[in-house]
Amino acid sequence: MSDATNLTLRLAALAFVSVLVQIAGVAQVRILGVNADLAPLVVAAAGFLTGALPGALFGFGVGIFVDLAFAQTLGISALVYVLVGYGAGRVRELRAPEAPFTPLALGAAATAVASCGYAVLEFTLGVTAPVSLLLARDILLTIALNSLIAVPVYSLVRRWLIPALPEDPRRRRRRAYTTGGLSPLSRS
Amino acid sequence: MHDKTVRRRRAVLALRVVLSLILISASFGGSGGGPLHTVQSGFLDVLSPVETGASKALTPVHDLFNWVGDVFHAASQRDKLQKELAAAEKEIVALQAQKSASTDAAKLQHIDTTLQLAPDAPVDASVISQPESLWVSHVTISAGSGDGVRVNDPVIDPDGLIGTITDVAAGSAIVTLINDPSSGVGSRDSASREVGLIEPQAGSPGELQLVEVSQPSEVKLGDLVVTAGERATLNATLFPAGILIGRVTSVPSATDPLGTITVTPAADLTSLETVQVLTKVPAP
Repeated sequence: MSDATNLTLRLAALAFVSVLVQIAGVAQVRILGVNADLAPLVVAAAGFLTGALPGALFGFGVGIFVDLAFAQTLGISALVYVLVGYGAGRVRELRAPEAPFTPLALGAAATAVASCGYAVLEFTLGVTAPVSLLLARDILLTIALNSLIAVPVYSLVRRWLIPALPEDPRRRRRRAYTTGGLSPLSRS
Repeated sequence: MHDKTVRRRRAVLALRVVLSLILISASFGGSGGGPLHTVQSGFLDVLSPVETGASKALTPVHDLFNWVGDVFHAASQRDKLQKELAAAEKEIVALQAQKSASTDAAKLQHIDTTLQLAPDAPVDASVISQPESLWVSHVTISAGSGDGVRVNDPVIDPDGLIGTITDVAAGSAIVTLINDPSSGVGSRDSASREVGLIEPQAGSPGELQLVEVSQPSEVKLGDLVVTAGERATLNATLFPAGILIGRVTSVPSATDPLGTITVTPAADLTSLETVQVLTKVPAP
């Protein structure tokens, strides 16, 4: 099985499991009156690890899945998560941040973009919810809650995807330096 | 090569965005029975069993989270209820004080009406210092010379006679209670009409004795003792007649005819709250 096929299958499984966990578990746990939202965290992590193009495709797929599963207007989440996945991939491609708090900042930013984008699209489509302090409070609490779980979610997504990812050139260079360019097995 | 990659990336992004917008338009503008809705309901039919199973499997997890949330919620509710309880307790204390004052005022009003004390110009006051011990027989009240209070004015409370004014300041006055060694009140047994003098009982500050009674055997246990409306001595206070002093609780026995007639004060002299000073007692 080629790397591309392996990655596609892993991304599909990741989308399915994450949306299922969101529906069956996370959506039923309310903390301070709001739910955590796994979808933007998973899309951002996948986009950050795989790049802008796979990130956009993955975001689109997760968005469609979310819209179908939650019986929402089809395409809204897809549009939002396309932008989240693409943006996360572009951040990696342009900046390649390595700070330890990168997953946390990425999760917070992805949640903020997703929450605000979703709200804007709903308002554009004529949903008559009042723009109130309650809405702002809910968005801020969701961002805070997602920031708390962003690091473990990123670690899980990374652990799941890393076998299917092309090797990072920097990691390859680091290994070459520490082992003299050879595998420890080949030296013995 | 790089340009081709960038162009491809942008094309895919644009395609996804356009596709999303088409889906939004179709889904939002379509009727309830359109193909997209059919797909959506079909998807939900397929997903429902999986969702139910996953929900059951994850029940312990979200129960745990909800339990934690409930604990915090219960803690915040407890704090809120404690504050409400404290406020309610304060309110109860205020209402009870108000009720007590109102009851005392009603009793004083009743005494004033019954004994027709209006000409005596009664002045209401509250006790601002209680006797520090059983052996102290003075209290301070909140009315003084500015209210028309003068030395030797009689003082009553809702239960009966309590004493006389012995010192006056502008806004307060000292009341010497009827159990003070210097006190003597001209009194009468309301049943037998025997006249005597109420004095404190030595060694028993909570009780009084009725002395100088011409026919002690006429005084019976349980008789009420009231003011006689006469001066005991020339300089003594003139109390209006008929104010309750107390009840006879012991009388001399047949074997000891010179024994003491003990009277228990009607007013609780150790716990006084609202009193009335009779500032203009007319001569009999």
